[in-house]
Amino acid sequence: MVKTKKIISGLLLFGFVVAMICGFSTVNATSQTTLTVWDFKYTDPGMHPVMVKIDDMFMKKYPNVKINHVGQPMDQYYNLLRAAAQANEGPDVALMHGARGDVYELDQFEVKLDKYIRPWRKEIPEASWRVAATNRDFKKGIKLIPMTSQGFGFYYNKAYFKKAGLDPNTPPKDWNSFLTACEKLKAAGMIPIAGGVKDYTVDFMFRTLAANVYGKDVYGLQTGKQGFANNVAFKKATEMMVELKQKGYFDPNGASIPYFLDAINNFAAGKAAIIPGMLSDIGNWKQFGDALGRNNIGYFPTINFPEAKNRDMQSFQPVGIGYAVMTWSKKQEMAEKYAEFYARGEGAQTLVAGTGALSPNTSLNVEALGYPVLKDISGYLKKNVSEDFLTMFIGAYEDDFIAANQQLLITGELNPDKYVQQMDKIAKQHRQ
Amino acid sequence: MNKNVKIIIYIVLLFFAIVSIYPLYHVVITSFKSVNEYLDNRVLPPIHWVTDNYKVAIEQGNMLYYFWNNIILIPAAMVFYLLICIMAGFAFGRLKFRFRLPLFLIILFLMIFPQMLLSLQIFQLCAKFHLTNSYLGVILVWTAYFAPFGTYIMSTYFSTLPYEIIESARIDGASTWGILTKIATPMALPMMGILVIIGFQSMWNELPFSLLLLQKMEMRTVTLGIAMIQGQYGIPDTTQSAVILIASAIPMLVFVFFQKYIATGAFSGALKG
Amino acid sequence: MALRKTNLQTQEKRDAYWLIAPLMILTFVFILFPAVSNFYYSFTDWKGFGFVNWIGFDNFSTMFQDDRFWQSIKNTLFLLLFIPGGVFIPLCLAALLRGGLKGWKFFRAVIYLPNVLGYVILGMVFNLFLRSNGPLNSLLQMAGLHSWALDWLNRPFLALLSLGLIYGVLMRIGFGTIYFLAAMGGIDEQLYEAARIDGAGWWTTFWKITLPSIRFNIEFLVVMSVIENVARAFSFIYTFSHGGPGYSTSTLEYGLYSLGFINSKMGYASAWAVVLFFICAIIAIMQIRLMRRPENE
Repeated sequence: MVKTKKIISGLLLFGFVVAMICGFSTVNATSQTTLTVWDFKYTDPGMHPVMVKIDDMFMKKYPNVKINHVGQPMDQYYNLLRAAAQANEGPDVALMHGARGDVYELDQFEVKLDKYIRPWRKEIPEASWRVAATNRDFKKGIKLIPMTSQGFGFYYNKAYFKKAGLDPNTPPKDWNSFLTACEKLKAAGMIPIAGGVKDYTVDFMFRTLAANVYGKDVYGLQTGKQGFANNVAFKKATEMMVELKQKGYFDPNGASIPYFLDAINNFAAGKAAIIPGMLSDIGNWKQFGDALGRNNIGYFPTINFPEAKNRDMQSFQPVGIGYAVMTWSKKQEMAEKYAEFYARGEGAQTLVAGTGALSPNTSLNVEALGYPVLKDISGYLKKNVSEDFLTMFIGAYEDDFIAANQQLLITGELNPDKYVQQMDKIAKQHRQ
Repeated sequence: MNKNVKIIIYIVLLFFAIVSIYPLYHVVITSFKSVNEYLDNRVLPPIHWVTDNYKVAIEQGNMLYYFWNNIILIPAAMVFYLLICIMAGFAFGRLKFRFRLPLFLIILFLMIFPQMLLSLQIFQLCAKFHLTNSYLGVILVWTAYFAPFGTYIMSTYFSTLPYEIIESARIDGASTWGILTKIATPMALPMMGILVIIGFQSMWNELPFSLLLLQKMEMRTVTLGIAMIQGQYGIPDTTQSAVILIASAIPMLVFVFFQKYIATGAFSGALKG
Repeated sequence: MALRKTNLQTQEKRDAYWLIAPLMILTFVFILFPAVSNFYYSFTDWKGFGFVNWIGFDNFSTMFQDDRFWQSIKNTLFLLLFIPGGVFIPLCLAALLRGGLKGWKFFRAVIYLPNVLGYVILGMVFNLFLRSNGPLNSLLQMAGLHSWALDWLNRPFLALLSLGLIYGVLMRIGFGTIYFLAAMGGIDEQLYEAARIDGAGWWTTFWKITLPSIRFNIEFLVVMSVIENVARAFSFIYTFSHGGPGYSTSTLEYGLYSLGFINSKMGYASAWAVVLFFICAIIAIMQIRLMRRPENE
């Protein structure tokens, strides 16, 4: 009796001790400063080696610092950050999206960086700093250091254009010539548009078209001055998407493969002629240029069509991603240095050269990397940019809702009329 | 039995066997393809077998870390789980006390709630008790969530044990503890095999709680690790297949070793009530 | 003697409370309390962190006007339609295996195998399997059934149907088969013997002897299937379809997750949780009535 009680309590004790030891042993491993970084990019195959390299450079520069870089999955990321905020403990540095509702909502847990960045603030355009401030309001303080800027546009395979009898050096100048190009490509036995109808292909195309629809007036979507259902051009853009689907210009397998990474891999492997891609991250000029030949990649930012009053407008996010320093961090100074390292000097240069991300930092020389298509891209970026319309009201809820409706539009469950109404509905909800 | 009938039966069984095993087979062949081959050849076995996917999965996915965590976490949690299920199961199944029925009904009631309904509140609680990022937190939560079902199984099993054996032990002056540890538990050994399997499978595959409670990379479990490997843009299907196979290796081994427990008639005894 | 007996009984009572104490404490703290606190948050605009504002019944009125909520209810109910299939097929398989054909142990093991993997992995696997250029369609095309090679995951109704067939039926087969097989092992052989003498065929024996003998087990599996469909489907849906296309495979449980955790509308999600709580409570009562029936005492 006594013996069994002893055994049982012994077992219980053993369990507790094991749990405790394991729980705490990881905490006080070293006397060095350990900087914990949360990141939704770290596990991406293209990004991982580059980030490891930059971390090493940082640790070489500050030998007493150890970087504990934790890759988190994107779809749980802000959820985990909110949980950390609730517990008031978590990473010292966290990667954030520019102009995203989730990030602005975490405002009270992000350190104001205005003072820290002052000495070199002019290296990065004010437009980017504005997005880095909560709700684009400088009074609320700058909360992250922009690491990349982002945009959407079309890459095309010049060799395939040539094969289909198109001029490889002149991208389609408007909707009609885009349709003609697709028809010719299809007739020549190629898949005109990579990726497909399921997810980001459509999403990215909407973003490029919306640049022409709203141009500089895009901020009106926030105030309610601009809308969707009452905008002829946006309605037309919606119909254009459906038309492309109906004419079979998308990859016929596109419905079942995700844009990331299948559509991108398909285009990079020469299985399609055009892809709506990104300027930063992956699926960009670098990845495609490296895969298909630097001189073989052409670019155009959007499709011009008569209803949209702007032409050749580049859809743009002044901040793609950037690091923020969290208020509960006990090593804020070092954390700020780390956030800066990815956005300036050798760290930023390594990032750009390694991944093809575009840095908003004007002191970096990107064109020296030797990709001809970059010249076109930076030409468009300098001329006419329209801030990405989805960042006007993007929170995770809106994001979800829009993605779901895009899916339904393209599968034919929603007609364009209903789709634009749904867009207005979500915009209205967001403004409330 | 008629020969034709036999053939039909085999065809039916074979059909369901293939349905069970084909998806797994598909994952196996996919995991040995290169990304480029997979673009063209999604269905047939690879022409060029490559093992790169496994290398990436193990190195970049930190799989070894995760396995180590499971090796610590699951046996520790299993000790708690078994003790609690046996103790409470014995009390509910064999002892008479006031509120026995209402308390037992509450336990049955608590079995049902989906994890999603609880997980954020559980996280809040754990944050208050400093149980986040600690193995102890996960162990307690797992035990709390999985023990009601285990208790139910044990209590029905104990209630079917021959009444005389226990009664005579009691007349001989054995205490409750004595009866539980010396008589009832040894008799329940086959049942505990099943309890271990059910507990193991539940804990190995558990996601929502560990997701919120174990936020440090070095503390993650295998299931959490494979859910986390996605990053922002996901990973290629080929790598994902390798990850799936690595992660399921141990449950499959456990299945092979404990198969006879799964299959014993005791299983029906457990659930028959 | 009588005195000794009362002593024993009080001792037994005290022991019993000690024995159940750990379980009671753990479940009350980590299950009951969290489940009940959803009621409080359903009246607030809580985001999952930070301040909590009391907003009365706003969440509930929003919920009842929300298409997404009604669709989730519909989807959840639709999944329940697959339960008969998910119970009947394992029943037949178990009856076939029970005959003791050569190799029945092998088939039993193989049929159970998918259950070992867990829903997270199974969801991933079947997602790969059903894509329009995936193995299923390739097999159908090889078999000449071109019109059967559909886009399973991208048409709302097809996606829901696929979810039902795979999660509601296929995923139930493994456990159901071995469970029924074990239950059938407990049937008195003499019953079969008598039936054989009466000249009853396989089918008659199945209906007249096998089924009635394991009635309790069948009911038990039905209740378990209801629980699996209503309250355990999240991890499968999460990797299988992410609730899409649109919200067409989103159940109440999945919607709760996506609203609360991804969209940071915890207060609103709690209102959904309250609905789910009551549904679970109804199932629990069904289950308890089944388990506590006098003949099962």
